[in-house]
Amino acid sequence: MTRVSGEVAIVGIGWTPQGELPGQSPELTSVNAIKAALKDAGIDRKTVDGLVACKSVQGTNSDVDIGPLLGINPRYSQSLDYGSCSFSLHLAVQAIVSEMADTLVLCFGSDSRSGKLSFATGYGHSPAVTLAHASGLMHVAGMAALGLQRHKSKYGTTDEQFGHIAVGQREWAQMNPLALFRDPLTMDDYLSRPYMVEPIRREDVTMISDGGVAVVVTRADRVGEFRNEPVYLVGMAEQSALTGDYEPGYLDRLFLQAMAEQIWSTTGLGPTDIDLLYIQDPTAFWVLQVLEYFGFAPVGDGGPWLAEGHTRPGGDLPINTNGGQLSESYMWGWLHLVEAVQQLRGNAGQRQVVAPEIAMYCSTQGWQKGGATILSTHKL
Amino acid sequence: MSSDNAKPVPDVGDPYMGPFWEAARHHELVAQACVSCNSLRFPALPICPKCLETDSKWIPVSGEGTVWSFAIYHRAFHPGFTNDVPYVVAIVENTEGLHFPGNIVGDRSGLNVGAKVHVVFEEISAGVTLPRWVLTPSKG
Repeated sequence: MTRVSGEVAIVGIGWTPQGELPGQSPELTSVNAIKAALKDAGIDRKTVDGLVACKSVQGTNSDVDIGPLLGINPRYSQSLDYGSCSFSLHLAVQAIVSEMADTLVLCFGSDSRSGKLSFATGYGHSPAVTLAHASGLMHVAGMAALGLQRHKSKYGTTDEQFGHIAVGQREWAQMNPLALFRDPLTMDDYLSRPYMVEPIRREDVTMISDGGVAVVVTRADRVGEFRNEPVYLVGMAEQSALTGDYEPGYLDRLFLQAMAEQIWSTTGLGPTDIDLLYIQDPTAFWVLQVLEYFGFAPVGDGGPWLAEGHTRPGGDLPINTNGGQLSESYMWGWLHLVEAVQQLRGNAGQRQVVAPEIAMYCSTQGWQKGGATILSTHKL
Repeated sequence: MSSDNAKPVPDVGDPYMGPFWEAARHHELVAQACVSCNSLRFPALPICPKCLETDSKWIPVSGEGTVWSFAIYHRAFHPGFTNDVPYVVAIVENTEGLHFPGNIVGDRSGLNVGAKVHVVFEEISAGVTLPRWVLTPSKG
């Protein structure tokens, strides 16, 4: 078991309403989420000696802009360009084990929906129009479509098999009052919906949302000072693929295999140990890749495996029980982390899975970085 | 991005990518070659990521390749593409292993991953020419 196992626990979670929060800055939304998380943790903000801000998609929401609203001067404070929740959580763990902070609050805030952020820009590092953009290759749906088309051609994956991701997550979302999309979505409904970027449908892609999320983490020997049962971090790994879209084949995201190898080898755990799986899902295709590269399904067999119903309510590997970003809200994965904690606490209401002990969360920054975290109800 | 209906057009005078657009105007597909280690790269970079040397030149590369993958846009995410849907964007792997994004134009029957394609050049606005790809009919 890795050295960090059991050293840090999540002891507070908080969130704001999702959807449209017109007139609210990401920083204000962050502070509202932090208030909720501190209340959940049962502590005053004076207890907090560390802040890790995850910048918004547009680059706002940094710690120095949140600070004046939050009214504290913790000894440790950082901002991450793309905290997602694994990167922010991993940084907090590093701060705690290196004794730079004892109790940190992590936050994310976004006004990307009311701020009319568009996914329709070209992809690449330059704001200039590239060959890809001039050819009409734009929006994350296009990148997912390229990836999925390749998967379909190589392995024979069908629309119906792939549709189990969106349909299954919608079934979970229907039991989640926070989820933005709760209308029924049967497989027949899914298959009858038009393609957006073939073979990707609207239902396979997230919708940008405003909102905020915060998480309180602390040193394991302090958990008795908090109101809730702790959720321990038992493993973490990261892997970059910084050469990004300059690397031919980058959309296959093979770096996920290296990340999987790290987290399984450092924890001694494997796919069959995981009770609940959370995968950051700007598109459903990202879910299929993680399932295969982490060994939950053999590479290429993700389609037939999904069709067996493992991931849906009642299945043996529930995935994105909050509805994920496809049905709940696009919070860069932060609400996946919140949901993992809710489930491990046994507080997930109607969608509560029976006595889960180990949850895993995988997040990726497109094709350039990824992080994986394993959480548990107890020290392993 | 402007709100008009014009397509996004590359800056053909860009200091890094300018030679690519100039070659395309003359119906030639080129890539950047490191003078030191000879590795090819596309799009342009100011330094060779294989050997970290900066000297480079643009050389002609093969306009023959296969479809690495493709996507069919049924929705226009930019008003300039409204009249084009459904349009196809592929990533083409050429003979040298370079990957070029580009539209598949012409007859789409037989379009699939691995299908053979060859480059064509189409002027999309004054002085701006894009490489695009046409399916190469299989022999027999």
